[in-house]
Amino acid sequence: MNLENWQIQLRKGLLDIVVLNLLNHGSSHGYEMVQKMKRIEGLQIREGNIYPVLARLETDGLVASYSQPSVDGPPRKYFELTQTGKRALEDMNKHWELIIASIEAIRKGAGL
Amino acid sequence: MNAQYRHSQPGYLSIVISLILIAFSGFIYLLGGLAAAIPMFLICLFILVFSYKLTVEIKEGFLKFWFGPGLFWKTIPLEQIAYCQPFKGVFGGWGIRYVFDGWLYNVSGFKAVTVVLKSGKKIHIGTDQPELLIEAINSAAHGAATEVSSMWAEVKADYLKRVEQALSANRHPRSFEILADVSSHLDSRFAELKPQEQTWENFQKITTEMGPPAEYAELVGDARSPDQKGVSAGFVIALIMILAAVAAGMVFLPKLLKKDDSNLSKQVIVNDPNLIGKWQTVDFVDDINNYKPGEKRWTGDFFLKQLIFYENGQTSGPWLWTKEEIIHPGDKTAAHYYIREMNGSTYLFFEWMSGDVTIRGMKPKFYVLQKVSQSTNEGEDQNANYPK
Repeated sequence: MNLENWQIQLRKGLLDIVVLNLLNHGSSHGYEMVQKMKRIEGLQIREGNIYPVLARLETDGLVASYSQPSVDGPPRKYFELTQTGKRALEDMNKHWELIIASIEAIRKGAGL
Repeated sequence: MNAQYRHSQPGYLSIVISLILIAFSGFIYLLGGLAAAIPMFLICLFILVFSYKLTVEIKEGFLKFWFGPGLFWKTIPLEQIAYCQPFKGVFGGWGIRYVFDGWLYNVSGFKAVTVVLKSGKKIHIGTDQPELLIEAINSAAHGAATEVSSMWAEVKADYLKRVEQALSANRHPRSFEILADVSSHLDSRFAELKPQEQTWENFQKITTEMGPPAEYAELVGDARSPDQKGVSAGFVIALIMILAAVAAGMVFLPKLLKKDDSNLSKQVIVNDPNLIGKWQTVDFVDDINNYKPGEKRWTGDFFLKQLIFYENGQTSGPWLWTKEEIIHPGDKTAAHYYIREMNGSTYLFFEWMSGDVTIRGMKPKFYVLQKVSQSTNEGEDQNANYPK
């Protein structure tokens, strides 16, 4: 098994919940979010991956975007969570905790 | 001096619609003559010539764009341009119009770039290659490109092109925004490089770290709703125009092809003694052979209740008659009639020339009338519902 491939696929699968949780702490633009993720061990993604995810989340109504003037060039595009996004994130975080607990249980052999 | 950038976007939709309308002006010519058709033809021709393409050129310190062969053009000195960015908004149609915060010029599609002048004024230019145009305008507006910036522009354009190709398979409505965001991200990465780091290898490293273009398509998914799949706005508009043209043809062609019956009322009367007299409607059938005496198939009211055929070729209704034909001078129709003897009674089968027959070309149905009197004088005509 190629561990690196598995890690990449896992990170890509978790991108939605990662991006929504990042935005739960405040508005941000794509470049800034990528920089934050680069600093978190295990969450380093291919930088371009964030944009299709943000586009999809915006299409689904979970995030909204707006432009803000930038001092060093064209306006930056900021993203923020919508109310729908906040509700979805609550559900996703609950499910995430359930998955972690379940995997831990399997790892420890509980209930098997 | 060669242009730094030059590209013409074809206006496919306007070409198709203009050609359909030009063809339609041919119909108008057949119906209403040359005087009626010429204005429409000229308008359509003007639209076609005006909007069949939009050319954008950067040359000798100016950004210039024009419609068609150059009927309308606009020139902007590059020194007046602050920067160029993707158009953020939604629009449809084509032509010149004011949208949101500036004038928009386009001939096709839903993509445009926004040129922001140093005065704050914005001009939106439609294009089918927004990234390349933005790059070209920004490079030209910010001075002559250095060798390094040209190299970066090449690497960036190549990456964006590959991402655009990957996303085109999904036809995601936000593909254009993704490309703009990726372009902005790449610019930020380039801006972080110190002069000594601005090398081909580092440029390649940046695009490698951005990830393979195929992953964009994989991650964005297919956001089209089922009713959007495979159907573009242009296709729908073109389809509506074609259907309208076909419908117009269905309405007007039968009239054009119909023989000129204007002299019907002047036709010489050929006598038919069997027809003269008073007739009473008894049924309305699809076919003569479907009628059986005493069995009424039509369940509704009869529009034509009774009819008297006089010796002089007149009738109690709006029709005239001659042997084998019943003529409506107003509608310019000539219907056949057939007289049959059945069970000791005489029946008249009168072809009913309704709109289904004259306009839609359907097979005529038949009013069945039973002869109630040879005389044309007795009683008054009680049929008050003859078509006018």
